[in-house]
Amino acid sequence: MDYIYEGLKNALKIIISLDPEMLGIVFVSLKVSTTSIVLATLVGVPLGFYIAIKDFWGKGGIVLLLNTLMALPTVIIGLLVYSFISRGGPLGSLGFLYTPWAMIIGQFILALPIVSNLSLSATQGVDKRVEKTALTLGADNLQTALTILREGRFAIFAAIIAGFGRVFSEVGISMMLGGNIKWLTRNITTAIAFETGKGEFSLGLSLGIILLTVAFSINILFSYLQKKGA
Amino acid sequence: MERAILKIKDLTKCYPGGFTLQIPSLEFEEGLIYALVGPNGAGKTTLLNLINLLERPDKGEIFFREQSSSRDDPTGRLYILWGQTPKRQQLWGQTPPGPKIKVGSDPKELHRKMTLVMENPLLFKTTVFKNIEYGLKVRSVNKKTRQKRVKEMLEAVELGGFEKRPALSLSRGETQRVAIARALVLKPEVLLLDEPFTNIDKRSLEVTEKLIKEINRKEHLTIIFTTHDFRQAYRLSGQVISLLEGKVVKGSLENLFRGEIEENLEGLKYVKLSPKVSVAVVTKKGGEVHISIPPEDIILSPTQLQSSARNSFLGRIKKIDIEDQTVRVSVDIGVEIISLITKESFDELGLTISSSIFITFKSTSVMVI
Repeated sequence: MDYIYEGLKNALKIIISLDPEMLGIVFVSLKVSTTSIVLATLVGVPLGFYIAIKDFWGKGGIVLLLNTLMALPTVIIGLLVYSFISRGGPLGSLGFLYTPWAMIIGQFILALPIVSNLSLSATQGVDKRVEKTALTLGADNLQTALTILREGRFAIFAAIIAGFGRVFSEVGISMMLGGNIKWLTRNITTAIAFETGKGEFSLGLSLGIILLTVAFSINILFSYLQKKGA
Repeated sequence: MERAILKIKDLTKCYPGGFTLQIPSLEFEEGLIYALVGPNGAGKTTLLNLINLLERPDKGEIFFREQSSSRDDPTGRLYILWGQTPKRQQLWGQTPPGPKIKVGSDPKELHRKMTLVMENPLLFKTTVFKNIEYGLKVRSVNKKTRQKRVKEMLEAVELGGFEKRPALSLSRGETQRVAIARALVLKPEVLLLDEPFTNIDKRSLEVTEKLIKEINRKEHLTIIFTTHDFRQAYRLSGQVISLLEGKVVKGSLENLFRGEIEENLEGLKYVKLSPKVSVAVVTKKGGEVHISIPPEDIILSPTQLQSSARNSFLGRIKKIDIEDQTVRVSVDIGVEIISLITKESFDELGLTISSSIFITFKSTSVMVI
């Protein structure tokens, strides 16, 4: 018990003293996850919206695929992206492997099905009369689409937050594609695994507390937005 | 019709459930109030949706005429809302000047000439102000004008000071008034109202009725509204169009009933409306039919009349509606029947609620549909 107590005490000291290494790790996590979620939002929200409002052949198959991809293991994504960007892969010449960009690509693939699938549900949940009302008030197709999105904004924000929560806490992609390089690609999750492995329990624990705090805050925001959108 | 703003020709819309809206010809004159009246499922909402481009007909055409500079010029610009490209000569029975004809015009432009207020209207999840402002904003109207017009409209619907209220916190009647304000702020040429008086409080009903009359009078706006309340239809509109099972029917559909045609031993046909009420009819039809008894053909008398009329029933007065020169008297004879009489007759008979009265009408007056 003393071991855990001491570890916790030191972890809090690290957090309060704003240890530069800890801050660097947190910064990498925020930078990579925010970039990947912004990209996933730019692609995923319109994609989910389009699938929701359009009827086309194969729609059911695409929805099923998105549902399946939501449960895609991070190591599989890591493996897939690795095969493309490693030195011998088709995109090896870009030199992305073991850079934050490699992590962003992997996290983007992880977040995209989550954001698009939840945006699809959010759009389907918008009252059907919104479209009719917008059209009859003279909105064109784009204005109508934006009105539908605005009406479903709380559920769409919730979709983005859910995606962020997922990429922020993943470890497989970051480890396989980032390589856990100090000051460059070491983020909270890879650092926890690494520091704990080498016996630096306090730093691992301090990062764990930060990760939990972020995850907890995200969940509070998620619940709030879901309630507001209901 | 010289100043028809909307013209419907051979319109058909079929639904998988078997319902078909079929209107061979119908015209709406500019600046008048029209009431589309009929029971649930008559096709009133479908017709409004078709006019407002929200649904596409299976067959037929709907024309919208944009008023040219000369009010009585029948060759003003024409738009076909829906329908196949017709030959030019078919448009108004003559060849209109070429450049003024625009076929299959931009739907957005047409949407902006007509506005529909739905039954159970939806307000966006924002403030009352932003709801009313919406249509102006999508038309890129400047902020100052938007603010001025929204304020004016809120005053018109007697909701001044409601600007910052969350739209979803309003009552049903207030919601309806905001939806009407949101439509009227756009100054449309045709206002379409789907059941605007359903489930709203008395205050909102009065405000809405007053507003419709005023806007029509001041702005010369063409208004088409649906209702199944005949009294309201006649109170607001001189033009009542009756719809039944997807078809326009002649005459008023007041006193509308459904029943099966039966024949007695003497060969007389009648329709049973209730266990005690059978109405004699003259028809060649058989089976399940609708019958409608024009209220003006129903005679009220304190004693039973000795006459050639085949239908005479004793009932009790349930409701009295005094209008300008006429009075609508609802009589319960086992089913409720409305009679339309003059004010003079009403005064002479001294009718009061709950008093007993005989109603009499000829079997030839009964419309079998």
